[in-house]
Amino acid sequence: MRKPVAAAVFALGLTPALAFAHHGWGSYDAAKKFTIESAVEHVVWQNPHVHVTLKYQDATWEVTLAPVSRMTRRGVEEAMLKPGTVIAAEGYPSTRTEHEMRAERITIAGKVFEMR
Amino acid sequence: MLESLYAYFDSLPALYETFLRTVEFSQLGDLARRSVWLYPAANTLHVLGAAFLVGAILVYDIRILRGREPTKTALTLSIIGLILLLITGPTMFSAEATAIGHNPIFQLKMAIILAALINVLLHWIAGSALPRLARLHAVISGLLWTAALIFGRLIAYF
Repeated sequence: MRKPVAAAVFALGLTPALAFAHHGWGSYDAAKKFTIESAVEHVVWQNPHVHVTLKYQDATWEVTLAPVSRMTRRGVEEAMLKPGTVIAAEGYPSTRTEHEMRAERITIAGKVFEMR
Repeated sequence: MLESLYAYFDSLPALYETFLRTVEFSQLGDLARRSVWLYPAANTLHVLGAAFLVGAILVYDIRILRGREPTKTALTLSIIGLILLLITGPTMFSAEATAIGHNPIFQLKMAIILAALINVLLHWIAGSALPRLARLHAVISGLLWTAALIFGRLIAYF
């Protein structure tokens, strides 16, 4: 009888850590949602995440998007992000790296693409 | 003598940076970033490898704690898991080595794995001649490998 109880207590102890991990995006401040709308400076179409750089308040921000396969599935192709294209990225600032944003969604030519 | 030792330690951080850049700009790193499927495949197989390794190790440890001979199946499964992990881990690492190499959770995970491997080595040397020592190794093993798995998953969130 005692062993299953001990196992259950151990499993419960792990739950907060797992819940935290699941709701993830841990190093981004979800309370500070903001939007950057500017022309794409540079696009890095690669795994584990696609990145674009955008100008925001006189600084260049690195915007982290989704993995390549998810970008494609959601309908975003590399050509749609070519430098000069104006896009809007809505997301959260990194708590770790200055001028880095993780985008929740991006808007290209009036069309919204979810990144999560 | 001491001076050259200091010089050696002073050169280590720069050496580490060079290592990270070399790995990131390697052909493997390039492939892991460019390929649509390689990174997700490595990611998936890394989970499978961890399930095999940590699951089998826990079975092994529990048998030792109960004073039984460990099964060969557990050992074989843990080795298959380890091989999967050693192929897929460096693949993912190479895709963004300079970032991951500075991730505190990744560094912690590597330190835990190093400690766990030293524990394996000590267990091999000591064997099961001393049951109490074998049990201590089993407890340390279970805790360290479980911790390695948890911190591995948390790398993505720090």
